[in-house]
Amino acid sequence: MHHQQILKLLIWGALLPLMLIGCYPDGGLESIEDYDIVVTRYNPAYNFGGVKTYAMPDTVMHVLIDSTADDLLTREYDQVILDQVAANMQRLGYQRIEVIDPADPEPDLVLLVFASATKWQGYTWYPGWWGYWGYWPGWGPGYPGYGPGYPGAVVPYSYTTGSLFIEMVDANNVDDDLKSIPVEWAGGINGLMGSTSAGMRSRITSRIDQAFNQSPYLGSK
Amino acid sequence: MKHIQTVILFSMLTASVFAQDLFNLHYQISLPMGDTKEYIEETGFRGVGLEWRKQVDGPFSAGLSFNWNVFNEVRTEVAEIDRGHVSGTQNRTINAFPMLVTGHYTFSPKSDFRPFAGMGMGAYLIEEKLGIGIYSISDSNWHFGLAPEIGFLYSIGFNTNLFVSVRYNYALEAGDAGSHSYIGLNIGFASELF
Repeated sequence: MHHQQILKLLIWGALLPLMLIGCYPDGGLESIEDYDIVVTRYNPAYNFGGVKTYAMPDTVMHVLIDSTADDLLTREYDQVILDQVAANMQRLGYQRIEVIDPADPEPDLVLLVFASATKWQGYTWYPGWWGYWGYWPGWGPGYPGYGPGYPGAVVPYSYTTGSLFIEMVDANNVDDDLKSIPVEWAGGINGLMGSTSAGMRSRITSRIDQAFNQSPYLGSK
Repeated sequence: MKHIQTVILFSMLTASVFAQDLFNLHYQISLPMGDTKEYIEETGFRGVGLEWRKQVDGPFSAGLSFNWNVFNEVRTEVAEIDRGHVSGTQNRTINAFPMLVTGHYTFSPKSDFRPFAGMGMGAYLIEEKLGIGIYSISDSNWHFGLAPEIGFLYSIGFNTNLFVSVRYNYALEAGDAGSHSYIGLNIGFASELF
């Protein structure tokens, strides 16, 4: 083999790996917001046009894996979250019942807002939180031992600490056979409260808006 | 044994003198078409191809071609799932690896400027990836595909040629995986190495 051929072989040999490395995709997501994900699920058989009033507890429930776990989530944004959910419901034509009076008719829907204070892996939706709401007077007569009935099929999923959940349940439509209170709509925002970066407020409000905006069936009043 | 090796080596070297084996390395730009474009609209600026061609009979040559083409696009849109929707920033990627047997006809094989036309066929390994939020799903499939090609070689001395070609890649459906197609614009160097 001549020197010239060896030189050529070396040049080609050096070019090839450089071109291959150049091909390797480095991904296109750059900021933390790019990793936000908003999932909504609903019961297609439910008539959202037939319900008007709703009630919402004035707190964001922090759900822990058990009662001894540390709650590392901030409460700084609780009011922002609740206000934004209420603003969206109002925009869609729902009427909030602020004061629960046993003498009045019960609200059509109850909205529950909660955040994961721990990481969950492999759950379709959110486990183990239902008992937290047992004391709330908005339920009217209690349904001890009843759990939520979720729309949709089971899919493997996981939620990071700081995920935010909004659930719409119809407390007047309890299934006594299955002992479940049907969840007619649910919105999950993954990882939203996991950091304390600047612009958190606008991130929270825009993601909550997104959950309602991608669910146009809610507004069929 | 050593004697046989020497004979083989010698015959390869002498064959190359007459047969003009071409070793060709080129950069590829990929323009998505059809179903590929449905998934990713943006042009893929990352691609590399490696080809070896051996003259078999006058203007006819046969060869092997290995390629890697990358498509990537970041989109924000709402996707439908069972009884619901998911929104978030989607990071879509396709890695296509065409591995082809090729045949070419070279016009005016003795001049510096040598246009050619040909066809490749073989296996396309295509990996589609969808990242949304912190989640990612990917699907890899082997497709059978065809790749008609036209181009030219231009001699620039030192047994080296400028290589330019346009190749239409068509990978047929494979089971549940849909077809893929894209046009590859190739530019590089072809060398009569050995």
